[in-house]
Amino acid sequence: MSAVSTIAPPRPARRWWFATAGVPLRVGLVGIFTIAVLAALAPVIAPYDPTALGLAGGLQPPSAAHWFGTDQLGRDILTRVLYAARIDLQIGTIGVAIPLVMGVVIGLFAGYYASWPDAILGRVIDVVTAFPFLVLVLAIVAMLGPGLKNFYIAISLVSWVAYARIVRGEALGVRGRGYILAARSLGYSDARIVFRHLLPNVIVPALVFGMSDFVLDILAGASLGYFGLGVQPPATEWGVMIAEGRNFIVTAPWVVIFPGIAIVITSFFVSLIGDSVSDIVRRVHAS
Amino acid sequence: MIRYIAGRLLLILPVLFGVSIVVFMLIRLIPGNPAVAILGEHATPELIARVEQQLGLNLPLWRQYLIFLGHASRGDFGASFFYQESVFTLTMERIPVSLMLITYAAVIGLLISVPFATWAAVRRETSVDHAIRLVFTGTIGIPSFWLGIVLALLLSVKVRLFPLGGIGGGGFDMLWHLTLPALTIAVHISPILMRSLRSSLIEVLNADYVTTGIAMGLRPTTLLVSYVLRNGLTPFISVVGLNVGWLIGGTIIIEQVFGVPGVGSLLITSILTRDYTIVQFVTLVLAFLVILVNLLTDLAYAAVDPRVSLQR
Repeated sequence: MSAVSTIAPPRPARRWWFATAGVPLRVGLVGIFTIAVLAALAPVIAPYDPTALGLAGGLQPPSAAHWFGTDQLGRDILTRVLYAARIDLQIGTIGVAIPLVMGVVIGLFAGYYASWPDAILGRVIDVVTAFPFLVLVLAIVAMLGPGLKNFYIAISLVSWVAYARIVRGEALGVRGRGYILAARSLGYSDARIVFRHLLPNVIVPALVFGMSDFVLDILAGASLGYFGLGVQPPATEWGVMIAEGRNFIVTAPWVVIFPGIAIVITSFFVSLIGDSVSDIVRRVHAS
Repeated sequence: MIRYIAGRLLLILPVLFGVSIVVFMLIRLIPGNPAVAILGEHATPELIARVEQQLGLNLPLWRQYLIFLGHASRGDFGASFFYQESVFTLTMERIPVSLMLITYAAVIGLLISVPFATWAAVRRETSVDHAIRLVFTGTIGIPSFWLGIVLALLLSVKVRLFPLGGIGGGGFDMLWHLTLPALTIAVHISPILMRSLRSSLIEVLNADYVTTGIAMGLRPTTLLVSYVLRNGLTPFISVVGLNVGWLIGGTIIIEQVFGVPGVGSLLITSILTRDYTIVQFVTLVLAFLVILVNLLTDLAYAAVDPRVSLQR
């Protein structure tokens, strides 16, 4: 035994996981962290008040005083882009968090019990996925009325199904495994088996999907904002900013360009993280 | 084949039932009295009573649903408060334009994604592959309404290559008018198509028959067209079908941005004017469209791929 221990290779030096992550993952994480910090610090670092009117006149092009120019009401666009980031990141986060929790819990129990709960969930999934995502969200917001709260309700009512479908599929594959059967034979309660033994083994694909869902939610939130159905003034959001500036696109394109670039960059960083994590998961599964 | 189609149709029935329940419940989500919301706050009590009776609002929910189904079976989905016309007629008039736009966008989307996916798959894990994937990853996050505005500014206002808005006078003129909206939607859906096609092509490239083909000394073009693309494109049919909802979502926004008179712009306008009966019916029609396209792609897949048993 002592011979084995002497020839055992030395334990590799612990490397900070971030350093071992691929370049896209690192770029994505640094990028989204930077945006989150900029958004959080908006009241401190933004050069102007987001609602202050008539700064240097309306529709001023980008300059040293106003890096992104000013909008039709003379508001500083850089300031508004920073403040809007707070709401757009919130849209992505809440738009993922609520459906994720709902979908995971429902998917877990349906997959664990199989039988009729799974059959019912299967039919619900079929029905909800028959509707184009944005159409159903729009229809629900149309009925409830415009506003961020109603947007969150609509997103929650529609998006949980995607998470439930993923988790249910995973749970159906895992429920017959030895460690689940062992937990059952030890007389553990269903809740304990589901949350302590099943959940950790099925949650990863749902979390990976959450990344692309984050992008989808930001785009949906911006689209609703663009049509006046999302965030309501005086609060602002990138989609609302684009909508407000669209009539000035020919004479003052910066009003529309900068909020759009903010959406593209944010989505890009989140997609990089999502893709990288997805690749890692696939590789782990394959090995 | 008939047995297969019948089987598929049978599977659709519970989905249709569920869709009808969701659409029926939509108007019931309206806070307060839906009849007042539909007619506006200045409606007379008589009118409100009439709509309440038409919707059966004072009856139990299951009776209301049966009334809804009864009306629906006669094609009676109510009248638009704003247009003073049957919502069925209003929507059906606009369906052809939307279908044309969706098809046109899908074709452009394929023209963009197939060559890039093939290039990326053939040169997988090289700088070419990484660059293509990176560009398409960036494209995913472009809001379609923003892209539409930017493309309109560049290609309609600055270069005057395409007309801005409307659908023209039919035929080629209509296609020309719809090019910019279709291109915008195509860019919106191309990342999903590119990724799926790349994955399925890589799978085919790793197959034994491709290795055998290389060993036999087949010309690269023959190998690519006759073996790889032919087999790689088959699962792609279902990818296009599965993403029709994404395609429709993009179309709805873009129709409104470019003023295309389709069901999408009708839906957005109706939401803004609180024309609830139209919102309800358009939602139903678009869900039907998704179900129909999924059925058609299933059938096409079964017809193209001999491994899919038609008896299943």
